[in-house]
Amino acid sequence: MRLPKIRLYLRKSAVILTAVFLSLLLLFTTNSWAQSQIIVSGKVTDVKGIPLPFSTITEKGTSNGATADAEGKYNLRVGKKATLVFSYTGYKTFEASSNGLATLNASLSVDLQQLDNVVVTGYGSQRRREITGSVVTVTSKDFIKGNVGDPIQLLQGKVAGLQISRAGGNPNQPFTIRLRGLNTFSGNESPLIVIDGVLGGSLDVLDPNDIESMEVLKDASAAAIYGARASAGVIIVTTKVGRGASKPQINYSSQVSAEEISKSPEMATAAQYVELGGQDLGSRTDWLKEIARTGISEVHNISISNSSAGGFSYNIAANYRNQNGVIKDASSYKQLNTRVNLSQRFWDNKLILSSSLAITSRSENQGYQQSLVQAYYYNPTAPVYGKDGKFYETKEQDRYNPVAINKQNELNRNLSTQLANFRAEIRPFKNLSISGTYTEQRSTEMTGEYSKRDSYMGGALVNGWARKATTDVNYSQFDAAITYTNALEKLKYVITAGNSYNYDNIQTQVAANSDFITDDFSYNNLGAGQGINKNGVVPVEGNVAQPQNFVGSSQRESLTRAYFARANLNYDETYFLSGTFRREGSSRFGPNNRWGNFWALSGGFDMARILNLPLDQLKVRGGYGVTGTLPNVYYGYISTLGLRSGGYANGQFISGISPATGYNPDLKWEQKGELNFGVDFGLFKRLTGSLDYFIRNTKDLLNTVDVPSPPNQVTQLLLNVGEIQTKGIELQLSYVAIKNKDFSWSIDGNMSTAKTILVEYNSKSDQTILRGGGAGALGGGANAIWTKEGEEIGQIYAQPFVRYNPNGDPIVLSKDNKEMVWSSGTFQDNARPVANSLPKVFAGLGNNFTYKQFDLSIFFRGAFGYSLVNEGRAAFENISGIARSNVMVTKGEFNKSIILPHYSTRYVEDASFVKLDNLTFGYNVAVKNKKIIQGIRLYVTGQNLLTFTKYLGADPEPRYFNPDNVSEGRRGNNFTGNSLFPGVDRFYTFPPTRIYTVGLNVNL
Amino acid sequence: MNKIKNLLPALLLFGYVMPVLTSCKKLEPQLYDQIKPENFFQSKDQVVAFTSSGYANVAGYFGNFALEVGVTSDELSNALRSNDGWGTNDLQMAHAFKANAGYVGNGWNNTFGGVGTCNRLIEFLKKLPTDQKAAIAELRALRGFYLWQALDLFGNIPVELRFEEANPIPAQLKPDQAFTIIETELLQALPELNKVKSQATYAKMNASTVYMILAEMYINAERFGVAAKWTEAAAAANTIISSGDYSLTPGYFSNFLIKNELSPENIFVIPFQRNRIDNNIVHQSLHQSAQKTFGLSAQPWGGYSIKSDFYNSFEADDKRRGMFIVGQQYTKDAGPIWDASLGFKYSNPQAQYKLYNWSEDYNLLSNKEREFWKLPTLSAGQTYKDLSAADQEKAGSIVIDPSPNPIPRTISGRSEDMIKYRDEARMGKFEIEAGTNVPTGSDNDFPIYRYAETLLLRAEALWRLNNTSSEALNLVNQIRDRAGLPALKQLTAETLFSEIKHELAFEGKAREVLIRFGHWEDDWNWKYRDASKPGATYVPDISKRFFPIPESALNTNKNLKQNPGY
Repeated sequence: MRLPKIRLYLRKSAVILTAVFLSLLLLFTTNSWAQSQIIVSGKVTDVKGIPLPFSTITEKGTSNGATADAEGKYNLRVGKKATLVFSYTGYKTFEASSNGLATLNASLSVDLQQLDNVVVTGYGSQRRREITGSVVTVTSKDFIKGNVGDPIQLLQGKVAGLQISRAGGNPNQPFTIRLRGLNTFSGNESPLIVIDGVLGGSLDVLDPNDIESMEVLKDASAAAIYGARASAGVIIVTTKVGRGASKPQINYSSQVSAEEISKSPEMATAAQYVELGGQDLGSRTDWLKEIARTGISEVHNISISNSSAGGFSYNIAANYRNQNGVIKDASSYKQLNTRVNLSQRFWDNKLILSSSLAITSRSENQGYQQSLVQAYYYNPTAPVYGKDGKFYETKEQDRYNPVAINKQNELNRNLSTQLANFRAEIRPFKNLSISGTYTEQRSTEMTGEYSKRDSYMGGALVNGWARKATTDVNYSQFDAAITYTNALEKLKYVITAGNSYNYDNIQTQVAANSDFITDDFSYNNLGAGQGINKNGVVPVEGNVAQPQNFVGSSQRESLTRAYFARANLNYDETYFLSGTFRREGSSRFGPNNRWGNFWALSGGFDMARILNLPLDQLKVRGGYGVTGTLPNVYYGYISTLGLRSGGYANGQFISGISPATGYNPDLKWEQKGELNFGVDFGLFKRLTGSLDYFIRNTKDLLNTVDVPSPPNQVTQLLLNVGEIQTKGIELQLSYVAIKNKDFSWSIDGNMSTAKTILVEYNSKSDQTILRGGGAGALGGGANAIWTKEGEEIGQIYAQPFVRYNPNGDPIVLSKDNKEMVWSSGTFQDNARPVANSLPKVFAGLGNNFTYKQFDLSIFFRGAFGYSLVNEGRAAFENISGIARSNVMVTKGEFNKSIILPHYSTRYVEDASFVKLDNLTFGYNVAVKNKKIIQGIRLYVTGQNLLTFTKYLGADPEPRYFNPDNVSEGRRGNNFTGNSLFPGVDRFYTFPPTRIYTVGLNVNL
Repeated sequence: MNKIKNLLPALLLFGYVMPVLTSCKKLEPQLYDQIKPENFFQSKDQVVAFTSSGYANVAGYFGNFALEVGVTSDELSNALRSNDGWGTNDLQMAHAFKANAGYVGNGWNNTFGGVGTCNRLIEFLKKLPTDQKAAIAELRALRGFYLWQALDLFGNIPVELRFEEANPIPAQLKPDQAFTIIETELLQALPELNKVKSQATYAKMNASTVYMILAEMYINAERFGVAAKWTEAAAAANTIISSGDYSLTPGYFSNFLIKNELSPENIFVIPFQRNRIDNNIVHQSLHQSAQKTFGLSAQPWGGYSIKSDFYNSFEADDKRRGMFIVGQQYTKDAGPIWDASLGFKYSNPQAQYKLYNWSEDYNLLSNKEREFWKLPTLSAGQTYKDLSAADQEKAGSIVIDPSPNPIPRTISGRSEDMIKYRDEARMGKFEIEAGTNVPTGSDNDFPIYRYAETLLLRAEALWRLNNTSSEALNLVNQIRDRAGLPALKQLTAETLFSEIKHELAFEGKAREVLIRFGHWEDDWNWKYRDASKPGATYVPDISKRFFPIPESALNTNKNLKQNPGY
């Protein structure tokens, strides 16, 4: 029992650290060190004397700083001999010594390369000029604007190679994040998120308003410092820290949005439905209209920030969002975030103590996806309410009144997190920095579900059904790092070494009961139900059609420990070299394979300087690195006993105990090797950009594959088998077309390609082909997506459609190009690859204009060269189900002589699209009297305004996975799924939405 | 002074950093919701909880044998009907078995999953310091049961009885080699098993269950290249009969009612309980309209129906015909009940309770199909609701014709020959609780072995040894007597075959009986040598007595070879 002790020790250290921190804070916040300081004030302008509003002024070597006002004026308390660094995005930083001066004006020249901007690279930072990996920085001024609830959306379309996608506009549905294509099957397919140094953080706990910048570490040489979990890349998020000039800065911003469905499947109207032979129940109901609304959302944000003369700085922010999606009684959430970032410097910056505290509470009303499904295909002649005033039900199999679904059922999710982070940094000598960081994060997620006693969809079966589940996650992390910076003549070097330890513990509790005497308890009084008394409980909870009684709980934990080191060399600002090593161990592997070594080497040189070219920069760089992936399974290697259903003894069911399945003592790290070549360039002070080429191979893939039975107990096990390879090119450009006193125009664009090939699926099996993406409503359960060894992931297989014969039967081509009647039984022998479902090219293009106090930004986003399987059309563009289901009548495609559903190239559609994703128009109010108000900005934003596509479905966004629950699940919200079978547009997908936002920003 | 100031925090920091740098190299996680094996097996209950997990795959018998294999026999049909969501089953019905078919893979995975679980459980128990002989014997018997099922389905099977030291890709044995190993395993397990039936042995391996497995293996022995074992089969059955633990119930349907766990005929069952594992065999068969017959909260599945030849092979006064649902159907006001002797019937079938006005499937027919079945036709733009009342009665009332007239695909243009939407008899062998809120299943335990089969096994074995055996005749007549049928004067292959088929209908035995009596290659509904008859055309081939080795098994185990004929 060593570990609990260590954990205790860690907790103790945290407590001591906190105590020390707080007492030091008390001791030293007095002004005893301020006497050697002076106040410097001045104005920051460009070379023509035009003020640069809100430019940043920092005292070099410290985090002391201030932000200028709207006229570029600032004042800042600094040391007598301090060096001030003036920076403004898009301009060269300017350094000047205060040297006892009271006034210091600065004029900055345009720097299109931003070569000296500091880039956070994990356990340290580098200047952009020195970076040898593939790293993209997006700062808050370039974030996506408008009603953005999920911080990751801020980057959507902005970074070449980073795909952020969500089909439909459900505000409670997470985005799918892919960096450079698919990297794993069974681990985390999304990049590692690092928030202010905390690994594996969840973006849920952040408000977009609190974010200063995000860096995307794309290749392995950049990400290797994060080792075992970095194989899908890393996104580093930095939150805002204290700024100001002896006077607190207050910022208030607020916005109101209206959201509406932008496109939905074309279903028959009631009149059309009756004409086609549907049963006329007498009413005329547009079900989608009945459940939809214009969602009105509001966001309020207030932040107070200052950097005082005593070396104390803070940023306190509170954010409130009330988000309402387009489906009534569902798709809404409220979220309150508060974040306090504090920092105190001592002894001429020889000691810096800082801390972050953040609390988030979010309550979601998720509702049921099923209400959407039913709204599409429920009988449009049925009334919402029957004559008895109750919800009308047609009582057809699997058909439920769409309005009743969200009125009679509730599905809520509450999330609350608390984060505390303490950091101490000491610089005993000029060149040495030692830091320690301790983080503790707790989060509790509660899901509550109640189906009323009259809910035909669920509760009515068992006289009311309630379920409540909680998940508690406890996470702690301790990092210690030492950094040494020095120079030998022209060679500058930075060496960093340290270690990292983290621990997470997950506990779940769930209970479900039925048979309630009243609906008033909802899910808050589970003991009131008689279901458990009458019928007992099931031993393993399943997502089955009928509501079950269930009680269960679980707990698991995982520990990780790592040692790392890095050296960055810079010779004469011309030659750069970087080497990284990380050794990491995880409790998710057996003792034999517990530790893994991850490393990277990268280098670059500036051709412009070497050859003395008339360019700002032409840096050629290359690197190779190895990163890993942790399995999602915690105890995959241990032989244990666990619960198994189906136990029966002495005439009754009992809890069966069985060896836990999936025992694999050989489980080990999955390793990704990635080679990256790139060029960073800056031309004529106007154009900057970078071009990258990468190739990466993931080997020993953690993959749940078929194993022989006999001798195995199960037919699938998590093994290290298989290999995938991804190649791609990425181009990121930034161009200033016009820049003068009144008018400016800049263009930002990016383009990327990525192609993932399944090199080997399972080295221990002859299986070379996988089929999926069928089931659901595709005709007869034909599997549309096949993945074959040696081929790209996401191949769509189908038989070419020829025509319908006079009976309405679909005629398709067979394997040898003969005409045949389509049938699900002969599909597999005759299908051929007809398209791929993952885009070949992604692109983003932004135009920013400013004219005097006005600004305008227009952002387009697109994906090209891919197709989707339109499941809705395949399933409902025929009259087979008309007795129970409405019919899809897509213009130009529907024909009433089509009787049965089928699947062929008729339903494989090119989904390439360009979206006018964001259009923002802003006005900065000229404030004359700046006594109180420093600046006001008003803006309007439109999101998802226009879509240019040939695709007939509602939303052409790529589908990166096949939803887990492909049946018409009553509860499933389908937020996760199998990435090997992408590309099927499920007809129950949430509809896409268009959002209009009006916003206000006030600086005090 | 300054130097001390600088040193103090440095020391403090090193105080925290260094210990963490050097300690904690082991990363052993703690277990919370799982058990370390060394802490378990402290009581009898714990051992029972452990062995009981080996039975999880027994329930697979229901899907594998009763349903999927039932479709390949002369019992169940899964023919195309209009608006049929059940896929293409003509090939399966006509014995064109495919190595990548779901029913083939399911049978393999379920039986070998059971074997693998037993192997692992047995190895666990063997390593314990305490004596677990009885539990090990029970699991060996259970493993024998799974292996016997696998042998029955696939013939050439790999037999691997180890877990940790197992050959990762075990080789196939010849059927007779596997037969001998399974027989030996069962015989070695026997002495340690419970000899007397009790509540503790219900749905468990006891001596009688093992004798049933042995009797079933012996009577089918020749199929596996083993010399006939009629004497052994008769003896194994006789051990059960002479134990006096079991007897025939007075009414045939007592065995299939919701509360059937007290039936004295049950030897080995799948214990079903609603909300856990449902017996939904009847729900899988009923037409959707039966929702109204039984007051169910959702529609039944409308899948499996009963081949007309099988339905018609029953004698007119056979009480067991109560297992079929045919003719005019009614709402639940007509009082659908199950009688212990007569099975399903309506207690008050008045005209006003008739089920009618079911337009769904009628609307989906083409006029060609309507004409073929002499149903009212529609002109363009018309639907069911435009029909006259009399025509609506014709098209929309729920009358099940057990001997329908399939429309050939050459006339309909459909991908398969098709029957009228609600035709072929539906299954009513297992009682449904009328008015229940739960749509998907019932509590009825499903018999894998029951006493009637014991009697028939002994009868057949004795008859095979001597076809004038009076004991054999007497045993068969006991069964006939309960079915309300006159006693036979003598036993022929046909009368014996027919009696076994009727008594054990839909219990998963049809295939082995058909093969044993040489009828597996006969023509029956949906499977004819004559291409002009409905269904897929069949070419008799004795290699189809075994199913193909599934593609997934061949993919993962290079030592497996496909069965001959595939």
